[in-house]
Parts: sequence; C-alpha cells; structure tokens
Amino acid sequence: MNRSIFSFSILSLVYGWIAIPAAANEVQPPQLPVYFQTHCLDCHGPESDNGLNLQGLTTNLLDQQTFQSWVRIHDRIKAGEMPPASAPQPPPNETQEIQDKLSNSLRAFNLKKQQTEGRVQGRRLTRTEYEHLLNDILGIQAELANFIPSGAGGGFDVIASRQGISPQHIQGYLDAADRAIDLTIRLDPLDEKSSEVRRIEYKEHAEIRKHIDHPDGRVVIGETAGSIIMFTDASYLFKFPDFQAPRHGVYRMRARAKAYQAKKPVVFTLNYGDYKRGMVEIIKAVDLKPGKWQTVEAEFTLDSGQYLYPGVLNLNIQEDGKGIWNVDPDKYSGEGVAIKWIEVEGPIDKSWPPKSTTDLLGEIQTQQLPHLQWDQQRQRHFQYAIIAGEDPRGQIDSLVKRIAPQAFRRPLQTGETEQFVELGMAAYQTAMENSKGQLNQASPPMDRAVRTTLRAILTSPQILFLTSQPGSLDEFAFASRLALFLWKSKPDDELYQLAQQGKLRQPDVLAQQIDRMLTDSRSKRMVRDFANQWLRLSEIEATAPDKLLYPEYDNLLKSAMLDETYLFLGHLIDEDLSSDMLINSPFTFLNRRLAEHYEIPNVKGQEMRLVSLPQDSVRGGLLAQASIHKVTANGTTTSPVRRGNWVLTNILGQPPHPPPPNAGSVEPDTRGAATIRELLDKHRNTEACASCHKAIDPPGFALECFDVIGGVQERYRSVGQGDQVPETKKHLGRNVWEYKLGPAVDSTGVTAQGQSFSNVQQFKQILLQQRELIAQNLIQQLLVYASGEEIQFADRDVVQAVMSKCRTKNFGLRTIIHEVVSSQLFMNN
Amino acid sequence: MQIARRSLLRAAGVGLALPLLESMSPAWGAAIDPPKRMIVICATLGLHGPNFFPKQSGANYEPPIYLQELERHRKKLTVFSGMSHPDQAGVDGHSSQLTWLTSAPHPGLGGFRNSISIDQYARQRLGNTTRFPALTLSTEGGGSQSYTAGGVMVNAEYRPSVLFEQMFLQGKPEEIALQRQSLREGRSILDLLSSQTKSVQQKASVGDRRRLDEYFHSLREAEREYQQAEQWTEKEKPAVEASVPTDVKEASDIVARTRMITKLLPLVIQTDSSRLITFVIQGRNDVPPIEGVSMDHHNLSHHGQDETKIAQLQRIETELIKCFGELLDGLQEKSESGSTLLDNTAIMLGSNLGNANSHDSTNLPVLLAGGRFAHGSHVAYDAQKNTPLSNLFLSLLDHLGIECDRFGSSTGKLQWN
Repeated sequence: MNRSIFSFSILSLVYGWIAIPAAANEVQPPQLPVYFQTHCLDCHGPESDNGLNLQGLTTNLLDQQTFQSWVRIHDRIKAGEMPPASAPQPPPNETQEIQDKLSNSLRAFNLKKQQTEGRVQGRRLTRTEYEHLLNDILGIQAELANFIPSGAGGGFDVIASRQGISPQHIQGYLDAADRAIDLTIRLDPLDEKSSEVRRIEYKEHAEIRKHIDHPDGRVVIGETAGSIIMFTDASYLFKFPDFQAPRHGVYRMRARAKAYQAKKPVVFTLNYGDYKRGMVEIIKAVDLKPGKWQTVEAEFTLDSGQYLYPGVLNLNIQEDGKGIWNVDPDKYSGEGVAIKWIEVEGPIDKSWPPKSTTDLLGEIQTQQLPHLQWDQQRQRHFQYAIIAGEDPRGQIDSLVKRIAPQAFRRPLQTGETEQFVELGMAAYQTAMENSKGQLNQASPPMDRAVRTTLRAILTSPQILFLTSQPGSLDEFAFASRLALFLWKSKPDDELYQLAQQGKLRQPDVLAQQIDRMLTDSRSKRMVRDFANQWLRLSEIEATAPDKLLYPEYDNLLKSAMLDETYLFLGHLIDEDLSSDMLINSPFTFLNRRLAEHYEIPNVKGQEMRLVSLPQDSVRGGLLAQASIHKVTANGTTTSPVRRGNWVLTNILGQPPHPPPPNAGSVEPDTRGAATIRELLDKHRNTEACASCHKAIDPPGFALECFDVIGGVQERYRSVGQGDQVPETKKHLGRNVWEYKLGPAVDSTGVTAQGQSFSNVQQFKQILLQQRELIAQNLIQQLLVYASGEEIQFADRDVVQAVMSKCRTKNFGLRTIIHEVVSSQLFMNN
Repeated sequence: MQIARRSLLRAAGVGLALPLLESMSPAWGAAIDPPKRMIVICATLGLHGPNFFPKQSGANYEPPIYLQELERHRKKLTVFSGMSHPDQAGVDGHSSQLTWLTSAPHPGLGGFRNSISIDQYARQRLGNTTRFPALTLSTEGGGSQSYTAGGVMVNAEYRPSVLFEQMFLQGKPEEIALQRQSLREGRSILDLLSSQTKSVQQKASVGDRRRLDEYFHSLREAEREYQQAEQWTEKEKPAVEASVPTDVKEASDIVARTRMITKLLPLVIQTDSSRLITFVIQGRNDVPPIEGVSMDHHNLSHHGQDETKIAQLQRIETELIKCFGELLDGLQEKSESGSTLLDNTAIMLGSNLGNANSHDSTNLPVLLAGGRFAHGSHVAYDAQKNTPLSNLFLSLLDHLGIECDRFGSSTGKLQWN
C-alpha cells in the first residue's frame, strides 16, 4: 500500500484535529486538546493504571489498536460514562463538540480506508461453504468439511480477518477435492446383485440366533412367533447381518416392527454405524403405536463400509424396576419392539455410471473393462476406465470451460482456461510417456488429465477467495456473495443469468430472487449455519449432561432441541415475523420427545411440527428453548453468569466487559448444600464485582427455571443431600434413584435498571422493552455474517439505515434479510 | 542374523557393495543433535495395576512384578499413576480405545466425533523429513489408534513382512514411477495455483492481496512438502543386514506378534525411516499359546479378583512387558553421535483401561522411557482427581520439538522431578 498517498488524501478530509502523520514510525503524541487535558488527564495520564494513558496515545489511526482506542473513547463519552458521574462534569456543549469531532474523524478515516483497501479483505470460503459448493457443482453428497482445519473459533467463520491459512489447509483442500472427485467419477462396478433388496427374517438368521441361543451368555432378546423382540438398544446384537455398504451411495432401509407389551407409543430407530470413525447416528426415529405392525422406511447416503442396525429408545422397564438384564426374556414384562424383518436395498442409483459421472465428464467417455481390477494406489476396485477421444486437449478444454465458471462463480477471463488445460495435458503427456505403450488401467493418461485439472480448479484461489476491488461489487461477485449468504453455495443458473444480464441488482428483481432463494430448501443451510454460530448451537456437544443428574438426556432429545431452534428461526423468516418473537412467541416446534420434556401434552409422533403454546406457558422464544439452555450450561449445573452473559452478548449485542484477571469463578456444588444463587451472592458482595454483575446476573436468574437440558426445574437436582424424587415422576417406567431433589430454584430478580420480575415470563416482557436493541443486534449479526466483516465504525450508519427501513415492517426477519442484502455493506466491498 | 541374499540385493540395488549397518544409518554431524522420535504402545486389555504401579512414589520405589522386568532400564524410565483422559464413559467398556491418543470425550456415544491423534498431529508438523512420516502398527488387521484431523482411523499395518518390505526393499520401478508421477502432479498443481494467485492478485483490492499473499506462502510451503516427498522416491531405501521376517500366522499368539514388531522398531529408528510410531497390542477373545494359560485373554482381564485368573493374566502381560524391555534393549544398544537411540526416542507404554476388570478408564498404567526426561521415579498423581494424560502428550510433543500449548483435554505441560 502506498502510505503517503493514503495519508495525504486523509489529511485533506479530516474534519477534526486527528491527523495522520506522513510515516507511521514518526508518530509523536500530538498536542492533546484542552477538553481531554482538563477533564481526563487526572485519571488517564502517564501514571494511569486503568489501561488508558491519553498522553501516550498517538493519533496514528493506521494502527488498528490506536484506532480502536479512539473508538472506545468516543463510545464512552457518547454513552455518558466518561467523565464518570463522580467527577466534575464538563459543559454539555463542549462534550458534544468533542464527540462530534471524534466521530467525524473516525468515520472519515474508516471510510477512506474502506475505499482504499476494501472493507472485506480476502474472505475465503468456509469449510461449510466449500463442502456445499463442491457438492452442488458435482451433484454429490459428500462430507468434505472435516478435511479442512477449522478456524480459531469465536466470531463467525466467514470473517475474513479471522480466517488463518496454513499448508495444512492447502493439503486439506487437495484431499477434500480428491474425495469429491472420487465420489463423482465412479469407476467401480455396478454390482447389481449387491444392490438387490436383501431381506433378513430376523428370527431365522444365524447371526441373530447366535445371540439368542448363546450357551453361556445372558440372553436379552425375546422371541415370539415369527419375530424377535428388542428390549435394549445394542448395535452389536441387532446389527443387520452380513451387511456393510459395498460402496458410497443412497440406500433404502425398511423394517417391519411393532410395539411389544406397550400401552403407549415406543420409539423405534434406524441407525448407521461407522467402524472407522467409531461412531453411530440415528437415521430415523419413529413412534410405534401399540397393537399393529408398521413398516418403517428411510432413505439415506451411506459411505462404503458403514453398517446398519435397528434400535429402541426410552423403553419402560418392568413395573418392579427390573430391567431385561435381570429377567428372563420369556418372563419379562417391560416394553419392547418386535421385529419381523429388515430390508436393505442399494445403492439405488438408476443408471451406471451414475449421473454425477456422466454430467462431469461430458463428452469424455468411460469404457467398461472386461474384468474387475484393483487400483493399488487408490486402494479400490474398478471396472471402468476414462479414455481419451481423438482430441484430448479439446476435451479437457471443454471440461474446464464447463466446470470452472461454476467453481469461480463468474465467466472465465481471457487466457484463464489455458493454464488449467496445459496442466491437464502435462499430466496426460507424462502418463503417456510412463506407460511406454503398456496402458496402466488404473490410471490411464486421460484419467490423470481429468483429475489433475479438476483438482487444480477445485483448490484454486479463484474458487476459494471472494476478491473484489473496493467499491461496488460487480454483478458476479454480488451474485456469489448472495448465494454464499443464503445458500452457503454457488449461484444457480437463474442467478448466474441475471448477473450476466446485469439485472440482479435491480430492486424488484433482487427482491424476487431473495424470496425465491429463501423458499428454496438450500436456505436451510444458512439458517442452520447462522444459528450454530450466532447462538453457539455448534457447541451443543461441548459438554455431556451428567448421567446421574440427567439420566433422561439422549440423542433423540438433543436433535429435537436443535431442530426446534432451526425450525423456529426458519419460520420467523418464512412468515416475516418480528424479531420480538425471538424473546417471546405464542408457538414453537416440537415432537413427542421434546413435548414430553417440556411437559406439553398431546404432541404425537417423532416428527417436528408447529405447536401453539398455552397463554401462561414458560415456553416461546429463544430464551425458552432447550438448545439454548444446553449450550449455556455445563453438564451438571446451570450458571446465571454464563446465561446472563449469553443474553447480553448474543441477544442484546451488549457484551459485558471481561472479568478482571483475579476475579476467579464460582465452583458449582452438586451435593445439594448450597444453591448457585447463594454462592453468587457471596461472590457479588464486593463492589468491584457488583458493578458488572448487576447487569449480567438478572437474565441468568430468570433462566434459572430451566435446567441444563432445558427442562423446567423447581428444585435443583442433587447427588448428595435432598429428598427422594416423588413416585409420580418416573424414568423408564421406574422410580428415579439417580438423583435427589435439593434446594428450591429462585428465578426472581431485579434488572440493572431496577425492574423486578418474579419469573421468566415477566422477565421476557421486561426484555421486550429493549426490542430496538434486540433487532439491532440481529441486524448487525446478519450484516457481519452476510458480508464477511465485523461492523466497523463507519458501518454504524448503515446499521441505523437498515434499522429504520425494518422498523416500519415491525422488524420482520424476512424484511431484515432483504434490507441486509440491499444495504451498502452487502452491495459494496 | 541370516541374510537373505535376494532381499539384500533388492534392498541395496544390484551392483552396489553391501554396506555395513553402521555406515548406512544416517550420519548426524557431531554438531547436529540426532533427531527426536516417539513410539507409543498400547495394550488394549490393560496391565494389571498391582503388578504395575509401585507402592511408593518417588525415586526409591520397589519395583512391582512387571517393572522388575525393566529394572535394567530403571534410570531411563518413569512410571506414572493417577493419569487418564477425562469424560471417557463411552458406548461400551472398550471404546476408550478409540480415544487413547486423541482424548476426545465420550467415545462411540451418539454425536461422538473423534479428533486428531497425537502422532498424526506431530506428523502434520514434522512433514516429510523421513520417508515414512508416521507408522501405524498393530498386532492384527484393522484397528489402530491413529486418527486424522477429520476423525477417521488410519489403517494399521500388522504384518512385519510388509512393514519390512516398505521400509527396506526397493519398490517396483513402475510403482515408484506412478508414485513420483502423482507427487509431481500435486506439485505442478501447487505451482499453477501459485501463478494463478499472482494473477488474481492483480485484480484484487489491497486488503485481498494481503490474504492472497498468505495463501501464496502456504502454497509454497505445501509445495516444499511435495518436493521432499518426491525426493524420497529418488533415494534408495536403506539396506539393512536383516532378512524379511516371516509373519506369525496365529492371531492368538499376540506375544510372538508383538515381539516381531518390537524387534523391527530399532531398525526403523536407526535408519531414520520414521520418527513417529504407534503400535497397538490388540487384546483378543482367544487363548494365547503361553505355558500355563488356558483361558482367553479378554475373559482373564475380567478376572473378578479370581487368583487363578490373575495368575494367568500375569503370564501374558509379563511376556508383553518383556517384549517392551527388549525394545528398550534394542534402542539402548545402538548409538548415534555419542548418544543411544534410546536417549533420543521417547517411548510411552500404557493402556486405555486402568482397570480392565471393571472397564475403568481412569488411573491408567503409563510408562515413559527414553528421551531426555527426568527419569528414574514413580510419579504419582491424585487417584481421585486424575491428571489429564494429554498433559504428558504435550511433554512428548515438546520432546519432538513441537511447540503446542494445548492438545485435546490438556491443561498444561507435565512437569515432574
């Protein structure tokens, strides 16, 4: 960057007294204006121990820290926090004057910097975006994000200045691209036999019988005519026999099952497992109603080698409290699920090689080989080979021209194609020379050429970076930013064509496109990704609820919790409902599992659906959603401090100052001796703590009525002292012995402004008085997330402009998204 | 040791004089410190605690039965107690195997995702300085404890013959050519990306250019990695005075299988073929052919305090400890630049089960030998509030010269004296 030109232009623009020196290393603290000398130096002089020495502070705004210091000074004066109330107050007009001068200088400097360097600087695709983009270009469903190292955390991953890069990233992109290419170009054989429907009559199969007839093992599987009965969830017992997905693809699984000895619906699951990752996952969970056989079906993508098994969840055990491990299955009277048969079919691709292969290769042909062969280098079987036509260069050329514009999300520039073609042809030539007439079936020259070219395109700076000159984005850069925001992927043909025609930024066209994009299912990716980061839902696994304190927590509950929040936000967007609903809403999304957890009756089945809430319900709004309670607690205890901080930071956009280094923390007590409230009160007795905690704690106190997994708590659960859980509350149909009921929960409080509340419902009403802040925070979060850069000083005007446009529409979420996209921050770089 | 002529010829390349072992090991100049290595060995069915942990802490401990087998190395090893990974309650009693080298919580339970293992983490940082950046070994096919950053298991090699072939026998020319071709393709891609970056930069903003510069430098570094890997394909593999080992057929014979590997490892280290090695001694559900052992190994590990079972278990585990002792012997015997291989190799032996009888994954048996650590004592941490095993991992990374503040559930580098 040419500093001297930069600073010259700034100098001529400066309204106030802050000026930029010609060279950064010549900076001397300038003469401090009289205002600061008179009113501030007593505390913020050279002897200062409060982190700010005004005499040592330069006016070199090029230095990021110095700039931030001046912004903080401006903000504290503007908020009336400085000079403090205890000090003599300067005349208001003087304060206003200095505040204006500061504000004008900072804004002018910041704008100039944006105009010179660009506001968003070198944003790269996130792991999530990279995965979706490659999947959408290639027509596959591959997990690719994990190949790429994750960012440092904290803040949105789209923020350019937080996106570090390393050689490990480069290798990660190459590996991810390889994986994607391998799953697109399928050269393995279509084993029609393996794709046939395989049905296993569970009762008859030797693998299952082995467990039933085990000579010295305890048998936990029941039998009736024509079926077996599962009383417990165990992948090793009920795994679909002799099946590991022969290759990556879409499979269909069906099971004939029935609730057994059950008076109420029981949960039946279809699951997959992966030895190489040591993991299991529910594919589908359904309620089986007592009394009739049901066929449960699911379709899903499996990776080669993965296995399947049927499972059960939350079965009630015998009334006497004995489980299947202690009772002979013939005599056992607890709930179970009877299984007649299970079927697996797949991969269910209609044609072979699949569409992804032919779409990608275009005119490049594959040839079926007479025999199945083994590829030593890639460790896999293959029966097709990519072969060159008469004009391999022409074929590679058209491959590049077809794929690269999608990957780069813009037309190719002059000469851009050639380098990629040259690269592919070089690989082709080398392979030709190496083969010396003896064709290597596993990697014939055309195969090398195609792969090398694609790898380069898919890891190029053009695919990875969103670059632009400062100022207005060009049509394609704009389309790209729009698609990455709302779909986490590339523009589709329609967007691309509108960009080509130069129409996309016309207000009516743009509005129509935003609506179309939000209706498209790809927008769910945005809702999920945005919520995961904004609300920190991605941390849902960070702690596991203690098995004794929360025995009822399981995966089904966890995924219902997350879905509730995703669906809720999606609904606010779909219906353009007000950001007020974030705090309180007359509805939420539930399935039976979550509804029972919330103690809301009459929700049947495991599908999530919109449910109206009773007037006096504690539920409604984000603050009453279990996912939020889970991510703001550890596995054993709730913390008003953490939750309060979460509300201030994530909902109000007013993060509290970080605690002083010696603040220490409150150790939770699960023995039932003292409540967190009592411990906190002690902690807050000093004035130093109280000044911040009077704002942090009250929202947390209101949320104390929700336990660590989002259930309503009236008394804290305890593993030490306490009363027996009453027999009316059962776990798995038996009395609860895991925990006791400790001290009562107190969720009353007084806000920093002195408003008192006696429960969370009242607190929500108080919070709604700050609806402007809540809307402003959401708008800011979305502006950051959509544009890829934090809100800078000069951007504050844009935030206010968006605010006033949305205010007339009651801060509807769809309106907000429209206005964010139409804002300067989004349209310009 | 008998030399198989054929293998040696292949190993050294026809026409070359047969070099002596010493001269074939890489020459570290007097001024250069020999490289640091790490070997991690896990016995997945535990090591019976009372036979492993000394009663006394500190330097003057009385060696219990297992440590008696290692008395000759006492000054070069440290026994730890009171260590474990937190939150290891998993899908079943043995799932802590998945996370012994990663420390990811709750192995196998729904939502579980494994994280990178310490060897793969080090591998990422050491790059292709050796022909084999990391070796993942086991006594049987399938399972290993090495996981990539994406949480996918790295396949283990269990056949000593294949390991030997990879290490010391030249590959077929066409295989080498293909490998080189792939690396060159990779390199030419990176080269192209670098030049693309330059042209993208011309049309980008000042701010964009800075980030693209960072990307460019990463490309260059990645390219160097490829170059290094490519250089390996051009170098001949080291010739060693050893023949291709014969694999032990019986999977139940874990002692013989373990011994084959532990015998090969000093050779791997000496030739600097790899500096990062993990080795799983996979417990089994069958009876190992050891005198006085009549019950299957897994069953014995659930001894239920039955003395006859413990006695049999002890026979198996003693043999495994002996193999470990022989590995230390092998590393101690060989010297390089005035130190022994053992002085430059940190070897951790342990298990993911502290008490296999109850599937308990706390208070793990952990033994550290070799390297330049303050050895010679029993370091006893709190049996109730265990010290994270990942803290020891930080010390291992430190030994390898890798700066790292945090690995998995670590809370800080382990310091003991």
